[in-house]
Amino acid sequence: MLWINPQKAEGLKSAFPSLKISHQKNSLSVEIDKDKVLELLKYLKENPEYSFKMFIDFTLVDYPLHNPRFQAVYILYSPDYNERIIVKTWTDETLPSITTLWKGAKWAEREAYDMFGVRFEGHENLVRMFLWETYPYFPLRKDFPKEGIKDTYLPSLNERDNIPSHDYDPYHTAIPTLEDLEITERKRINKKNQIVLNWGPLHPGTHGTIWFLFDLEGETIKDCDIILGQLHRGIEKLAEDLTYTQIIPYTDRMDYISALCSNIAYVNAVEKLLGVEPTEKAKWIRTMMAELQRINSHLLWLGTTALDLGALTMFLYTFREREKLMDIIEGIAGIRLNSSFLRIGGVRYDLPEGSLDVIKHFIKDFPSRIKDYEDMLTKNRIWIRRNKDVGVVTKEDVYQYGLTGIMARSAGVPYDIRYIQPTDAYPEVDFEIPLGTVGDAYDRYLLRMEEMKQSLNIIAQCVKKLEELKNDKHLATENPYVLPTLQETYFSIEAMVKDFNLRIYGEKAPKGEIYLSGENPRGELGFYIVSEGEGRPYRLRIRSGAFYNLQIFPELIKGRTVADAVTLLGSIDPVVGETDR
Amino acid sequence: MAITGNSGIILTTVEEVLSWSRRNSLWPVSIGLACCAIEMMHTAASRFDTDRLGIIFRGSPRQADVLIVAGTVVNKVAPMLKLIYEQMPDPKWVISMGGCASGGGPFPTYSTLQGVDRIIPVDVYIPGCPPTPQALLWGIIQLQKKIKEKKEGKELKEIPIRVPTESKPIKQI
Repeated sequence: MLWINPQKAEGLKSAFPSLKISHQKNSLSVEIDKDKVLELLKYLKENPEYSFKMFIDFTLVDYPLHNPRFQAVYILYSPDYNERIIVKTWTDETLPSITTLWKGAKWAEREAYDMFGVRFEGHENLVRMFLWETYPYFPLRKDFPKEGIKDTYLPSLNERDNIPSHDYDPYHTAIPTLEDLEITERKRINKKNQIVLNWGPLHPGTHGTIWFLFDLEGETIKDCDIILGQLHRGIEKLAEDLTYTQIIPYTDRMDYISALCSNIAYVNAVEKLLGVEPTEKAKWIRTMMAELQRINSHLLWLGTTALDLGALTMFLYTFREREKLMDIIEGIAGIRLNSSFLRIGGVRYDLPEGSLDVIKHFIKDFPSRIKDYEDMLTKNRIWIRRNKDVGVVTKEDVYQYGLTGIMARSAGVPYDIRYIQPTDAYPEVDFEIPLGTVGDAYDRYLLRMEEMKQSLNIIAQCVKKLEELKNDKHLATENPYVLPTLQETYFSIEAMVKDFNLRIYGEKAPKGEIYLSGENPRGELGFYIVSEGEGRPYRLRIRSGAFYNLQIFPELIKGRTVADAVTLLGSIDPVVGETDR
Repeated sequence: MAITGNSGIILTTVEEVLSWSRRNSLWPVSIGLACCAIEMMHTAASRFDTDRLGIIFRGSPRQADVLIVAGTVVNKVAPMLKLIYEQMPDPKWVISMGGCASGGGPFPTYSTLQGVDRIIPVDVYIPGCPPTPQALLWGIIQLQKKIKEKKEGKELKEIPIRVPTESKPIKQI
């Protein structure tokens, strides 16, 4: 675990006597009064002894019976010492804004305001992050129902007269009108130049449903803001009502392009919390599947970005390879896209017969395909002129905005969760982490191509190891927290009772908290879970890599043209399911 | 259609020609909302290749006649989706792809629209989470059948679709 050394944390007490240090099994957090929190964060950031330069996440937890009500949680990372720390404070209504220290806190604070109604003093433009401005409630508060307030009569238009077509509730939560959305838009950006251009939310080039606002002078973008929430489905609220195993399918639907990688990040966090150790074979299967999914995700990025920039051929070629990968994943996991393949303590199925041969064939075939792509793009004059010097990210930006994944590595920061906090079989496999030198969109293209080759390398090692582990178990069913297999449930009464208990009451996790992350193709996907000793999480916070990576977009696009916006958005590669959750 | 003799003369009605050409050149709007959009892209890409059915994705709703609602429709995006539906020229059809678009799917929450048929009428529902490309092709073929049957005067046997008359305010009460 990457937590700060407890002795070092004690050293903070000399500067802040009122500090409370809580050292748990899975985390180390310090707690301080609200009026001192800004001072403490500044001290942690600027003191070279601690140097927590990088902003990871900020969120709130609601305790309705506690006074004050909301607990604020800041997660920071120190790149110099490779340590994390959690800073906590309590508040009722307001908090000081930390955007002066880290620009990356801007959206996190907007989100906290949107979900909990806590205001931030000193925030430059505190508006709702996901919901529209006229929405009257704060959904993540514990006293707000999961289903929302159903106050609008909205029946199905397909209903037959007088005969109900199906059993459903014709009352629905309120839907905004176009005027509501216009108010939302006007609060974001003030027109200072010629025209405010709306790009998105339903535009083929926006990779989903992101809504961009550009304040244009001629074709130059002078100011920009992004409206998110066009895919805000309330996964964090839903998770508070589900057992730990039931949440796994929702992690698929968050980052649907790399579903297996999200599964792994979540399941690892839960396993650490519960103290479950997966079997050796499961670890290797997970690593192999994660890397297959990474190639799959990068191929989709390559195809769609090239399509946006006018290279239609790439789209057809990469989707041909993606189909092969999808077939492999379908053969192993059972479902093409959102496979929910992982379970706490292992994986759902054992590897089917012959699957390793198919993967071996793919490893042999794929390098020549990558070469084809590189031949087409790397020295292509149009590709270079569209990509070079667009969206240059510096090291300081990485720390300020909490950029992770390819965005961080293109700036030359070796921040890769597979390397700094390896889980599963990553400590045992041999791979390299490519780093960029310039930090522009072209660098990020080169990095993704190189990452695909590295992933192939990892898969080859996994296949070799899995051939040795042929007869091992894929699920650690002897552990009390792990669901038994179907075979065991049918043929033994103990397993059936265990299955029933786990499905109805959930995995009773010990009281505590955990933050653990995994390396998604889009950046660090972290899960901050607060457990109150029940079968369901008290609060599940998802730290989305794409959310923080997208935040730098308005900064990078200023002074450039609309055509560059397409390139830049493509090179950041956000997935709206993950940014909006 | 009827071919008389060997002289190669085709006798038909205007409705038949229109119906034939409509069902064989369904042009959808290329809008992706969530996970299903990835499978929709796969359907359009090299392996399944919807071009052979005459399906070409268009960037503008003004040039399209099918709306494939691919993914979760949340409350915030609902008025914009309705706007796009209204911008499409008649005749137009809607395919609701996947569990989320058809009925809320696994997201019974405060922010998700529980079925896209609450704001726009739907012609074909495709089950699945997400539906495979084969399922989407099945849905498209169902829609083609539906267009064909409508021409033959069978539309009265179908469920009558209540088309909303007032479009501006979505809140009905």
